[in-house]
This record gives sequence, structure tokens and C-alpha cells, in this order.
Amino acid sequence: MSAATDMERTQRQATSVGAGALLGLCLAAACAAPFVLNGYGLYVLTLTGVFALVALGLNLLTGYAGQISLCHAAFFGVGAYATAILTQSAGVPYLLSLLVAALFTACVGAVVAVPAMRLKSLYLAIATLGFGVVLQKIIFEWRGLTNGGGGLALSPPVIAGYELRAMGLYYLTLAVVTLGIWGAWNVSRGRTGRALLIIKESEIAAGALGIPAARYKVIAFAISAFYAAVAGGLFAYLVRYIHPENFSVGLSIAFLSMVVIGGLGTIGGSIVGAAFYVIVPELLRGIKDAPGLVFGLLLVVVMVLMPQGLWGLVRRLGRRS
Amino acid sequence: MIWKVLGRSLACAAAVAMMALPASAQELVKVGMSGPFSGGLSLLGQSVRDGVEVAFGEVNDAGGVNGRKLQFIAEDDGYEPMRTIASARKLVEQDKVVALLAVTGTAPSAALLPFVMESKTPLLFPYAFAHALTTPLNRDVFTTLPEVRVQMMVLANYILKELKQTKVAAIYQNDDFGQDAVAGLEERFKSANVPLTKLPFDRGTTNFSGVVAQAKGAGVEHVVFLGIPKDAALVMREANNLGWKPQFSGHNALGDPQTFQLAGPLAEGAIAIAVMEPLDSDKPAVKAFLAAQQKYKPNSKPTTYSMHGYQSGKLFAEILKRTGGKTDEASIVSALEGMKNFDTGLMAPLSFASDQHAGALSGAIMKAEGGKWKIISGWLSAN
Repeated sequence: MSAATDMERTQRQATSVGAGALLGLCLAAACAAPFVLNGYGLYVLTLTGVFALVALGLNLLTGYAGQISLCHAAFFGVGAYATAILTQSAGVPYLLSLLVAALFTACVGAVVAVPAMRLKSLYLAIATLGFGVVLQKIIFEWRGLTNGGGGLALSPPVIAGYELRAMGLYYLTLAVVTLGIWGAWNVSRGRTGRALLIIKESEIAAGALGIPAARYKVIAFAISAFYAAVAGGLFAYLVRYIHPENFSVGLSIAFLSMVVIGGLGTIGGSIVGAAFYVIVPELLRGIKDAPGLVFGLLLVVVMVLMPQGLWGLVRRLGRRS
Repeated sequence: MIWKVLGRSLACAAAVAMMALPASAQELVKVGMSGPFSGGLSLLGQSVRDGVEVAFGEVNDAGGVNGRKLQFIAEDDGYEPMRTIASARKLVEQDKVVALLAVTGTAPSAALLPFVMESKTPLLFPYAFAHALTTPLNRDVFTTLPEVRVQMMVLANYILKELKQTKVAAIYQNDDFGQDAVAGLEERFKSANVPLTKLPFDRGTTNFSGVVAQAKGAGVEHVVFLGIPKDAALVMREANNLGWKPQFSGHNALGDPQTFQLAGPLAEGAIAIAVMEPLDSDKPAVKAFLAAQQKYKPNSKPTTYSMHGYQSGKLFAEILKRTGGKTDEASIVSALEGMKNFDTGLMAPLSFASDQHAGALSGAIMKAEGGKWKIISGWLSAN
């Protein structure tokens, strides 16, 4: 028996070494990418990073804690607007306003979580849907601050006298995503992650173990809103024109599908899901008239053949080799 | 003569370009577009695209421009601004298009502004009615469709001077579009010292009994409706239920054939602003457009959207003729800025200048008669 555990341990060590090597390789490739890609490729890759960040946060909430949110596009939007307004109108340094906006949005996320403590599954989905609509409407109506339906045009941010253009923003996004992965890894492996997993299985069991489910749900909502807001702040300066309609329910559903396609409750799944959602439609541009149709069919195929998501497939292949 | 226009500083560059010209004479001129070809607004995007393809087909069959054929590359963005940016970057950086033509949608076009300004890519004739595209002036952005504020000034002039009506209410969608439109109306009414009753409603509402009753109670004889045709039909029904028959009017969206499908005979007598000729117009240019679409895209239906696409395609060919086949940004911009009173026959004559990139500041008055929209005025300037 001890031999078996030993074997298991060495195997686990081997896979973790393999995973580490893979991660290093991915990071190296990501660092080198701007020297190979044109502006178009770089834009698509940065957008992937931005969405991966949202997916990382949403996966903590949906994948780990089992709470469905349909208001992440609104968190994303609040983060985008807060960062843009702080930077552009109040003259706060970009990185600082990213952080402040994210903390603010985390508070908004915690407020949203209050009714979530009582609601489950579909009811929660509908409640968060309502919040998403309300937040989007507030952005729209608060014209003095957000310029409403006229949208907000932004000039490139400056960090330490250096104007952040496409390449700089890409590296900033890459750094933030790396931090985000590290953060999600720590949260999921720690006390919070374990508590969330139990809450997902059964709140009664969690209660019996002395885990305050309500508090952890609020924490999960806040962390996940924090991630979405940072991503929003990066997004605002990637597109440099934000409009309330960017942050509709459709985008929330897109975020949710990224997490499900990538793989619920996995970190790799968040990244792969975001990449699938952003990059595949770009690759399908060659198909005239029916890119939407092909993409939809691909989604169905992924869900039918890979119930664990794309990351589940990657892991299965990794184990086999 | 072109050399003179360009000035001495560019003469050197021009000489280099001339040397390179024989080699590139046969090269295609690539032009790009982004629009919704999937999703809820795909009909709009596909129609505009069809129109450009018809125009380019016609130009190419006539031998192209200066011996060069035009190539059109259209990319789908599903009306999502972030995908419009991806489309535009792909078109400019990968496909090396010389300009973006007839990009469809107001928010998607506005989202392209930072990119086109930095990459110095001409953004020509988007299908959009936004104020922000040409105010403040953007060096690379040119529009043909008069924004809604301009349309409302034309309408206000007509109400005050031709109809001589002074008891007017505006029932408008309470959002950016509606407020922009009302601002245009109000400006004219204020300078004529005529009061305007303003009655906003929320987008998405289906109950108009309140605003209609208010308008009737105020003794209004003319209702300017600013919203989608479906809501216009509801307002007309509501007024009819009250046995009230004011004059109805609206912006270009009201002057659509679907208004008749939605409101039936109640639409009769309504007036709307025409930004382009209606499809059933007797003008030879409209007939030529319909015949061309029938020839090059027999499976598609001509719409006002495809007419805009067609006109955009023809205008691009005209500009290329004026630059002498040169496709750099400076040549395209200066050729456009030199375009004065150019009549495509499909809308008001277009004039651009170095300080005016909105080509048309005028519209015409259309009236609903016998289930059809008929233009009953010439092209009226907003000023």
C-alpha cells in the first residue's frame, strides 16, 4: 500500500513538473508573441488575456462555489468605467485606478451577494440577471459621469512617463493574468477553495462542518467581481472606446460559456475557454456567411464530446502520455 | 495638376510613387468593411455589404479605375464593437486594405475612431448617424448620412415655414438618440419663439396611453415621434383610439415601408425625413441601382441599406478616379475634401471640405400616400 502511495506521489510530482514545464513554455511563448504577431494578432491575444481574467474569477464563483452569475458583464463594465473615469477625469495614475476600481467593484459584488445567500441555482441566475440590467442602466443613465449612450473615448494611459500602446498593454495584461492565475491557484488550494467546493456539494454539509456558507459566498462574489473589474479596466484601454451596450447580458452569457467550455472548477479551463471564445471566431472568418453557425455547432460538439470541457480533454491527453 | 495640389514637399514621394506605378498598375485596390453578418442585425449588415459588392462588380466590369480592379473584403463583427476593432485590424494590418468602407452600425463605427486615427486609415461613409463621428472633426472620417440632429432641423424648418404649425409636441425615446434629436428640434423652435411640448418615454415600453393623452390634452396639432417604427405604430393606434388625428412626423426610420405593415392605414398622411431616395423613386439613378442589384446580386433584395452600400462603392470609385489611382491616405483625404456638390442621384448632393467631413447637411420631406413614401420636396438644407 505504501508502495502504491509512493508511486502515486512520484506520479503526481512528475505531472506537477510536467505542468510546471508546460506553464513555463506557455509563458515564454506569450512573452515572445508580440515579436511574431502583427497588431491584429496582438489585439486578439490581449483580448483573450482580458477575458481569461474574467473567466478565472467567474470560475471561482461558478466552478468552485457552484453559484451562477449573469451579471459579470456588468462588473466588467463597472470596472471599465470606474478605471476610465478615475484615470481620465480624476487624473489618478492608471495602475492605481485599476486597483481602486477593482476594490470598488468587489464591494459592489459583495452587495450583489447578499440576496445570493438566500437564493439557489435558477433563482440566483435570475436575480443576478436583474442586477446586471440595473448596473448597466445606471451606467447608461448617469450621463454626467459616464456620458451615457454617447460612449467614452479614452486616450492611451501613461505609466511612469511611458505611453501604454498595444505592446505595453499586452505585457501589462500578461503580467496581470499571471498574477491572476497565481491568485486563483492560491484561493482554490487554500481554506476558501475547499470551503467553496463543499458549499457547491451541499450547503447543509458545509454548515455541519462549521463552514459559514453565507460568508464564503459573499467572499466568492467579491473576489470574482474584483477579477472582472481589473479585466474591465484593461479592456477599456484596449478598445479605448466604451459604451454601455458593450456590457449587456449577452456578454455575461459569453463569460459563463467560456467557463463551461473551458472546464468548470479548473484554472486551465478558464484560460482555454477564453482563448476558444475569442480566437476560434477569428479563425472562422474565412467561412463566408456562416461563421456564427459554425461556431455554435463547435460549442455543441465540445459540450457533447467533452463534458469536462476543453481542459478536461487536455488533462486526459496529458495523463495518457 | 494633382502635383500642384499635393505641394512641393510631397513631390519627392510622388516621384517615387510614379516610378513604382507601372509595376502596381495591375494590382487590386483592396477595400474593407466590417458589419453584422450574423446575429440579430445581420439583415442590415448583409444588405450594406451586398450594395458595395454590386457597385464594385459594376466598376470592375467596366474595366476598374485607371485599369485597376477593386477588391472588397467584408468581415463579420456581429455588431459587437470589440469584434469590429478585430475586423478592422485584420483588414488593415493583414489584408492591407487602403480604406474601410461602409462600416455598419453607430457604436461599432465610433469604436473604430482611435484605431483609424492612429493607423491613418480612411473610414469612409459608415452606416451610422452619430454626432461623434464628425464632431469634433476627425481627419480620416467622412460620412454621407445626415445625423439625426440635422434631420430634425430640416423637419423643424418645414413645420414652422411650410406647415405653419405652432402647437407641436415631440414624443421621444428617452436615450441618447432621442435627446440628440429633440435638441435639434428645440434649437429651431427656440429661435422661432415657438414652444415645444416634450414628452419622453422609456425605451422598451409598450404603453403609450399616458404620453398620447398628455399631447392631446395640450391641444397639439403636430406630433414628432422619435423612436422605432413599431413604437410609432403604437402611438398612432393610441391616438386613433382617442379619436384624435394630429399630423405625425419623424426621422428617417419612420419613412420605411415597414411603417405601413405596422400601422396600416393610420400611417397615411404622416411625414418623415428622407436621407436617401426611396426605392420606388422614378429617378434614373435609383432605377440604375435596382437594375445593377438585379444583375449582380439576383438573389438579394434591394433595400435602403444596400442603396447606401451601393452609393458608397460608387463614391469610392469616384474618389479613386480623382486621386489618379493613388491609394495613400493623404490622396484619399484631399480628394474627398475637394469634392463639392457631387450628385450621386441617390441622395442630396455631397460636399466635403477640410473643416466639414459630414457630406450632407440636408434631407427631403417624404409623405405617406397610398401605402407608399413619396418625396414631396427638394433636398432642404438644415440651415
